[in-house]
Amino acid sequence: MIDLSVEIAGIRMKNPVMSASGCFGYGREYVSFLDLEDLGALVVKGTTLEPRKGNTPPRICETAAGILNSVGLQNPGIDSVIRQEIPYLKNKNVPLIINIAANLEEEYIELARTLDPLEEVHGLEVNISCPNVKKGGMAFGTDVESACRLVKTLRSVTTKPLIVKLSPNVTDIVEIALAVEEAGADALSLINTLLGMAIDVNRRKPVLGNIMGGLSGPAVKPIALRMVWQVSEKVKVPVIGMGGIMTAEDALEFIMAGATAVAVGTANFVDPRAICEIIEGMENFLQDNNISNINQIKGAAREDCEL
Amino acid sequence: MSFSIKAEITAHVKKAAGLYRLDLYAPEISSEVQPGQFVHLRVRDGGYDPLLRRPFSIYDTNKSRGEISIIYRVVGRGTSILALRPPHDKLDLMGPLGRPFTFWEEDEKVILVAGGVGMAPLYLLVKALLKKGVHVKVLLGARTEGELVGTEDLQELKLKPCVATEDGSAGFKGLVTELLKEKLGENSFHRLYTCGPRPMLKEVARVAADFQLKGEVSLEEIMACGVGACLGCAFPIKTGEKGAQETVYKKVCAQGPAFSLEEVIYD
Repeated sequence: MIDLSVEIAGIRMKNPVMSASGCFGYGREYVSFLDLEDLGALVVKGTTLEPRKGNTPPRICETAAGILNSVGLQNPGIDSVIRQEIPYLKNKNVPLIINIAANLEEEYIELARTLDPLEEVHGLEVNISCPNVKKGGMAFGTDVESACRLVKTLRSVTTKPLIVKLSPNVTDIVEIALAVEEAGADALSLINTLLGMAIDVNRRKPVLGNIMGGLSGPAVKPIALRMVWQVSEKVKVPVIGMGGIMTAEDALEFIMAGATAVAVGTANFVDPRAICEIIEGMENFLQDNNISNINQIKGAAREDCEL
Repeated sequence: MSFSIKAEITAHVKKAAGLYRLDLYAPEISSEVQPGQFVHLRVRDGGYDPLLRRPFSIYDTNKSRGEISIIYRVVGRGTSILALRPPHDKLDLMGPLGRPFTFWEEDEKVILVAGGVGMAPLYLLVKALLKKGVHVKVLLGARTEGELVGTEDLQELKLKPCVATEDGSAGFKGLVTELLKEKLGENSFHRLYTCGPRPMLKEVARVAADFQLKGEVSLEEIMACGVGACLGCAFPIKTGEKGAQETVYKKVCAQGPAFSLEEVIYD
């Protein structure tokens, strides 16, 4: 019997594979293709206090082994999510993590306060790393001081596990990871998308309506893996690795780099059953290698590499 | 209900320069599909080039053979690769997806306007309307004769489409929207359905509004997930009452591709 179960900040997951926020809607969109209860945890789309209209199209541009997106956090707002989406997910036997996003510190606090009493919400993922909104978002995630202050304040208003999602668009991700851990984060998610752009040479204009967007997909995996490696060496809290995971092998790389769990994003667009295929592939790998517990290979690639 | 399947190519025919018809064995999709819905397919298995799936309207079905057909024009890397896939190959397919066209029981006479490969979501609609006993008038437009789609298939349904080409190589010389104005002046219709390039759709919507004719449009947009999860294929749509209208972004994949003609913002 292979044991794939992991625990992140008190959230017990039957396997280490979660959906990445923004790449799996509110879960319901995928029920034709898979059983939500097979996921390690369900992380829903970034949700703000008020509804968000989102950015001007075009919002998607395919690049070499990647996608640029500039969705801009379009979402119906927290009240609608509580009314329309959470009741559906409540009856599913899968940990539910709500990704919260905001422009202002007060909005993050209000979101955390609103969600705190909801038993069916198992954790909050704090998005301080969206590259597609003008104010807030990444501004929190690229400045150590404001990230710390935000996490400290959130810690004081909610008892829910706080998972802070970090931006790769910084000079030193370890510095911000350590600071956020110190401020009270229970776990870290990394990475969000990398800021990028594309130009249509015929129109002589940027392809995306918002000019710049976030790059995701296999193209970013080596960078994400490197950051997970660097961060998990320094922090004590669990790290959730994400960025271009398409296959079980990709996921295992993140685990061996030191991540406790992984999240799958862009791969869902390519194969709506990607998460299930990855879980199955990880299980097969452990079986083939006579490993009974996923935790046995966590950080395995680090052995003899530590400086 | 939507499915994720491997579908065998039963036929793949070049209809004209750059224009292909692809038949696939997909009984689950064939029996579920409603006019206006689409499939989201990987032009090749494995590899990350291209990374994303490509959406294609379901052009026709053959339920007894469990087949669906799509019609596409080679426009970029994805369709170029697709065009090379031979019969008996299997394609990774999701579908049927999207909101289909709406039928109104009271409709007796409807008019359809297709621009080039914009016929793709309309052919199945024509068949469904005829089955309901609705009188259907079809206007086909293209730059040139070789780019017209569906002429023969419509003739098989005993329909005589009115054709407009910009270069005059077939039918009326000019834009299909000019033909539309003429037809709407001669006859009255209960509904209009359309699909085609955006400038055409804009003009169709304007002309239809002049004649106070309501209808639906099938939109096309670059997509990632195809199921409403990523919000990548958002399109500006007017909502609310006249005078207090605001623009919202709706998902072409899940809240469309069929939208009401009047609510879409075409520029």
